[in-house]
Amino acid sequence: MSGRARVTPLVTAIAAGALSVATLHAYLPLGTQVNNVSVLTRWTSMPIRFGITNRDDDRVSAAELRAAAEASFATWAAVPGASLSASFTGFTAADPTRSDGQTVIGFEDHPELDRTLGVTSFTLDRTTGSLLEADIYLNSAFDWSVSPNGETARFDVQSVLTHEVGHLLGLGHSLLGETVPRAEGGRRVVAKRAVMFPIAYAVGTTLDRALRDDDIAGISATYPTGAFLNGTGSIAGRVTRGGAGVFGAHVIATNTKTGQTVAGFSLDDRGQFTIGGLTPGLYVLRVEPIDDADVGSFFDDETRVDTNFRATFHTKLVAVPTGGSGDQVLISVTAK
Amino acid sequence: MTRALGCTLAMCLAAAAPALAQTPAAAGAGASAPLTRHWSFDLGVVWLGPAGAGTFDATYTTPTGNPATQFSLDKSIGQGLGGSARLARQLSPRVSAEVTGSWLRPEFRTRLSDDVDDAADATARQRVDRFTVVGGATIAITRGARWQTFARGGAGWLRELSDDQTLYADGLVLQAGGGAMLAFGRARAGQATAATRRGPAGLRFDVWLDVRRGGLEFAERRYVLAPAASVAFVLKL
Repeated sequence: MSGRARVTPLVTAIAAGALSVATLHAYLPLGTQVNNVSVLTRWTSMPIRFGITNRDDDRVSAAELRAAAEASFATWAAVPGASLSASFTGFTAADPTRSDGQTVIGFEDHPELDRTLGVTSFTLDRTTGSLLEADIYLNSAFDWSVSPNGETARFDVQSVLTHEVGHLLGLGHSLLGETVPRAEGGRRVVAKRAVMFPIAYAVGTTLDRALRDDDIAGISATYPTGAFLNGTGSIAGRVTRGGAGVFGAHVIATNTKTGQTVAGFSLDDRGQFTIGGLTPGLYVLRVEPIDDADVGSFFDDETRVDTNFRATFHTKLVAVPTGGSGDQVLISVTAK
Repeated sequence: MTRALGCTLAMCLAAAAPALAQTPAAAGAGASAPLTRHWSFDLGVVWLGPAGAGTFDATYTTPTGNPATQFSLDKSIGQGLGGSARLARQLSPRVSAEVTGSWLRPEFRTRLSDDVDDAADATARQRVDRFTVVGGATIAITRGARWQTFARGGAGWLRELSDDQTLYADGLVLQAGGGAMLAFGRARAGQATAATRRGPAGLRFDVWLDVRRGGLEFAERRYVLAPAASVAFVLKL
């Protein structure tokens, strides 16, 4: 077991765990350090085999949870630019919190995690970064629904599972969203544009069953098909403030024709970023600090993240060619 | 530079005038003489006017499924200057066929405003190389001694290239307009045909409506309409 490592859980809702971030395309892919080199945390063999715990929730049976999980996996597997698959292996008594060689999805009761809807944890091979196992549990301290159209005052199982399965596949959190603080603590989503945003929609909505541009680009970059690699391009550049690189700046690329919106982060002290999976065309770039979720939802070293700058538009339209990138982009931001 | 160009032009004019003087006059109507189907070639300066390219909002989605504006984009294609070369062949006294190649440098612009996080309004720009090859025809409307007016239409191929030369896209261009041709030298009454009525050189002025379809994906509408004009120095071959 010396090459295996159990990784800090990632959680949905207000609180969040953290992993290292691979300095490849953002969105944000999960990564790990292998011999001091960041590599993507991903599955290297398909299909991903998963079981469902045989314990029912108050309102959701194991069979219903299985159906929702299969729908969530199918949503990610249907992305044209990604090559991945998953298969259900059966109901199991295994615990979705233990590293036991089985990938398991189930309910766990954690009333103390009063802002955590779901948790994904991993076991990975430290020598390669490959995922060996991943478990997901939904917190049965909340009220859940598997109704096709959602239910008032209940969280939608499939929506939250789609987010957690995104983690299971190797994606971190996206910052494409706007929130406001809640009086009772935490933040409330005003609007968002990524299933992988760290904070869920309020109860009653099923919008997160469907992937958005950023999710699609992220999963495609993690499990790319040849067509994806040949048919999309990227933007690379640096974010600087006073000439120094900005770490942790959120860079959003919006296609001026289609509105496709994909984002990434500057991931080193030089402020370098790369946003991949972009449809060829002309893009507007906008940079913002992490201010709509906890920094810890994205980075494990919060002290390095620079949030002291204003949201800024880049004043050049950026060309994204097919299968590559254009000139390096340099975006200067100013302190708040 | 301006003086050198003026001298060059003057030399051409000087060369053209004797040639016109040597053109044999023919009595009677043009119909009585064979048509001279001449070729002509011109080089010119082209201007493409500004055009709106549409607006839209970059959006997030609210919990109720409605869009919430992240920021607004107001797109336009700024005016551009460039050059053109044209080869024309007269088919009849009134009709000529022509092929025109042009290069322009319009600027694609996007005005960015109403940012959800109060980012300062800004304009993002990209200078684009635009190449066209257009086949068309002109039909003479009036034919005076020195001036000829005409209507023109054409269609052709368009390629637009980003300024870092990494992104390109092809499209279609349609043009419809008209113009006037000024022949250098004096015409003589009773010349045989329209082709020989005017001297071997001249200036051509065109204005037209330029309709762009395709090219770099930018505009909200399938077709982008813009005014355009050109001035060209013409040589009969």
